[in-house]
Amino acid sequence: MAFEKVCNLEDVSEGEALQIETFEEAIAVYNVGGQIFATQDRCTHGDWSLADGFLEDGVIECTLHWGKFCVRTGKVKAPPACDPLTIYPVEVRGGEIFVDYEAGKVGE
Amino acid sequence: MQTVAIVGAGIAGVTACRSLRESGFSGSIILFGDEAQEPYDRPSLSKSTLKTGGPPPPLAKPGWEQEFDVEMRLGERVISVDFHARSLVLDRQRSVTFDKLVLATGARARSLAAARSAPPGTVHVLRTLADSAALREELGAGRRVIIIGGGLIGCELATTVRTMGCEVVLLESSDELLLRVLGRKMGAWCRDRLTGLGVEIHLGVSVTSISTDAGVRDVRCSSGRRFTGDVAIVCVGAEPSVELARDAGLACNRGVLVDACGRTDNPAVFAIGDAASWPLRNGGQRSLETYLNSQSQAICAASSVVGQAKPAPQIPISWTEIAGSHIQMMGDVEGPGAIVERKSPEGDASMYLRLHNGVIQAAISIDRAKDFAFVTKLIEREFEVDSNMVADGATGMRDVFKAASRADVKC
Repeated sequence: MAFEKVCNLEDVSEGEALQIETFEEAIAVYNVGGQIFATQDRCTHGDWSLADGFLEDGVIECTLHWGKFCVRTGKVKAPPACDPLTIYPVEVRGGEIFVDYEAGKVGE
Repeated sequence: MQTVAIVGAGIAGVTACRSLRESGFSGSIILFGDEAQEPYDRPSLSKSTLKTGGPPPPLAKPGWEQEFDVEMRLGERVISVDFHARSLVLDRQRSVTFDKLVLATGARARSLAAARSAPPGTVHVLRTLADSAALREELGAGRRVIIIGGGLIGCELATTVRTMGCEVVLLESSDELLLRVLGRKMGAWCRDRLTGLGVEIHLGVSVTSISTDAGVRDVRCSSGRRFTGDVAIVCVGAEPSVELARDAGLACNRGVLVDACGRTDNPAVFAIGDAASWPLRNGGQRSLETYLNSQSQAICAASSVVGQAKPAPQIPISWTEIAGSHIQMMGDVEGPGAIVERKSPEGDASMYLRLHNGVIQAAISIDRAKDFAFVTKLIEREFEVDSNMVADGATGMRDVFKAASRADVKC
């Protein structure tokens, strides 16, 4: 269990997502009304970045084929995606965002 | 306990099952599919599945029918509906009763009069996994493939088949490719790109007969031209499969006629997906033949089935892969207003948008999925946009969306 700093809180404004490439697999960090979440960045349906997608009400929509996922639980909200996202524990301390990459687990 | 029967296990039928449970339906759900395979993703049939021969992506993860408590009856064809007895007839001995029925019977490949006299197995069409597999059997480097029809499937197939090393001849009866779905400008753009891939394209060519002589397909045209090849594929559009509905007396006109909640003229029966002629947001109604609209109609009809009908007039939305480009489209490009061409920072056309009264009505995007995601929201929400910002490829559509949504809140 090791939380690593990935970015500053101000790097991800409300309703936005940011791609982080410091780990083996890219992750996406989301700001949902001030709450921060992190999931794998690659859509489980196709090789495409979710951080570029459309985030609304805690659901990220992939821009390639419009699959949707809950960023909090990783759960699939719309096909063509079938498999849930891997989600990562997040901590926000002193305006900085930390993610525990090793503790990532496949969502619901 | 109520029973909902769903006929058709494509994206519409499978989505309807899920949505019924998500809407709180606790009765039994029976899903009929006439193909034996687990529900699969059809858009891949002209692309990766044809190219690799691998299985198409599943529409739902393994075990979904237990999770959603759906009784799947795959490989089972419903031959008629008896509305009086509220039952689906499977054969002489067997029938299944229902309380509500959702028709998601899809569409079939339209046949070409000129191909009707061709011996069985000599002319391909593409709708199902079996079609894709049969076609793949005949492909290989150096094979000469004649594709009749330059619409979406014809152009997708030309791309895939060409990249498999075949020689490709594409015949289109009108004076440009893709006119119906993408309009003239994009049609010409795709034609250039396909020509660049080495596809031989002939426009204004009307096929009068397809015959086979010693294994060679002989395609003759009204102009007297002839094309010969090893493989012939007819892709001249789809026809909604409405026989069950029509034979049972439901109103149909190129699709089962429904209202914006998916209701047919029988209160117990709903229709969704390619089989349904569904009202459009901008007026009129038709079968949309798209993955995303089928999904949205299924979600809407599921709510109607459980008594929470909420109208969902549709805006056509789909995507295609042609000559290596990912093309996405929403709305009808033809219509009132003006076309704005958005250039990429490199100066290439990256998007065509139709604006009317400051609102984006339709858009086609070429390899600009990120920008297009925001365009779809602008079209759905009818936010007013600044047309100069839209035309400026250096301004991300994310920023256009943010500016427009702020302006919308102010009003």
